[in-house]
Amino acid sequence: MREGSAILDNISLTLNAGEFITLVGPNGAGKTMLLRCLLRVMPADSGRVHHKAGLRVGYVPERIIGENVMPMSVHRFLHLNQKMSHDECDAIMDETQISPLRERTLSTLSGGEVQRVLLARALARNPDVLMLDEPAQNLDINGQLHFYRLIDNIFEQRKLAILMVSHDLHLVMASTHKVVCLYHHICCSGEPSQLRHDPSFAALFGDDMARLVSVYSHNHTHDHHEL
Amino acid sequence: MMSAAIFITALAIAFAIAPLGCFVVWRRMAYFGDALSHSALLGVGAGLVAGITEQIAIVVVALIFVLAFIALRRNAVLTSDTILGVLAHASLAGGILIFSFVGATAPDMHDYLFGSLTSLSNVKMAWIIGLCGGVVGVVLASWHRLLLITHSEELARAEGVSVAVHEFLLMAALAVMVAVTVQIIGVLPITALLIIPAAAAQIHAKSPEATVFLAILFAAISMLGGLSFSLNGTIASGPPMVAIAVAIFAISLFVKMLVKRLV
Repeated sequence: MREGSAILDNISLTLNAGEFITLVGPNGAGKTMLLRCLLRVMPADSGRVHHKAGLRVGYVPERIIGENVMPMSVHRFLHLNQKMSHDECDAIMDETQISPLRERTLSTLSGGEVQRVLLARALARNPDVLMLDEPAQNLDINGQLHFYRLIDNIFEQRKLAILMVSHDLHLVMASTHKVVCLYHHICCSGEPSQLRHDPSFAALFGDDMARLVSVYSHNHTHDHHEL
Repeated sequence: MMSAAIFITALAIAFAIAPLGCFVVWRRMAYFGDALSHSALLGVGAGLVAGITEQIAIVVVALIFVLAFIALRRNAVLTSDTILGVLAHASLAGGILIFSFVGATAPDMHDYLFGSLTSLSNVKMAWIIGLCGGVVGVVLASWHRLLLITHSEELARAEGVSVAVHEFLLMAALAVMVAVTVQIIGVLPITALLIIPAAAAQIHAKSPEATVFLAILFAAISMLGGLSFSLNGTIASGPPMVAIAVAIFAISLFVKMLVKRLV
């Protein structure tokens, strides 16, 4: 998709309604860039991104708002530049478990709380697709578990499609959602149970599943699999 | 009569400069404001050479400054503060050189550096009030989107808000404010009056609107108070305004600490 030192090359990825895809890959694999292309925030040098007509996308960015100095309550932030009824807002705050944070100032929230607020803002757009960029990156292991469970609940209740970039292989591989491995191109994809035995997955992340989180070696040539 | 008009003009400036000052604080643009204000001196000089109205020359030069900053930031490997440093000092040196070449016919540079009310005409004040109204209008019209890009540019982009357009709007509004305030406040104290009322307001406020409201109040008190010191023409108008703003900031900090201790 990008010429020159092609960061992303020959990518073909389809996200169907009601599908949950987790995008994994080593640092610098182009995961965030792919997400930004799909969001149409960043134009690709070549190739096309096709959205279904009238597609509503909710986005949970990687960047944290915690360092912001502007004083603003959680409640106000959810309403900022988007229309939402009182009841809708209450329901979404319940759903994302941030009702007790309603009047809190954004800058006083913990990492996990900020992520849930960002998730609530994305849901307020009543999205068909939810895109999340390493949403649990700054959370401890309990926070990660909690957040991924929340995402799973939302996926089941709302019947929307989800595309999530994640570094948390131990949790991703424990789920049943489709996984796409990216390293400049799509190396392999499928259900975690299949991928475990896929040689290109092993080549990308190392053989020992227990060491997956820490071992990100990728000095192999990997086969290219079409989706 | 003259003084009543000056007070109304100062009030108009307070309404326009305070919300911009809040964004300068929130978006960490303090050095941008400082660097931009230096372009005003080059603007005055350019106006002298080209024989065009001073205010228009300042706005044009300040807008060129903004565009040059955006272009350099996009292409160069340099960081924003380095680019701003180059542009600020280029403007400053250019302005001073023009002043000294023009020689005896040039106005007193001191008046522009620290503010002076002596050559403030009714026509100029009408211009200032009109431009301040324009700045307030732009900020009000794009208020929620400006808040959103300030929170997260990434989120704003994904939600379809143009960060480039709104960032330019803020910078252009600042360019206009530098031009209209250079006479009453002066090149050097402008940044102070952008930042200090907003910083003092930030100490108390719980919402962006409350911050702006308090900042307007603090800026108005500083400007009107400073003016009453300098109306007789013996001292420059900028420094007393800054002194009052700093006093408000200090009192704000003190009150906040006191409240914290008592509660």
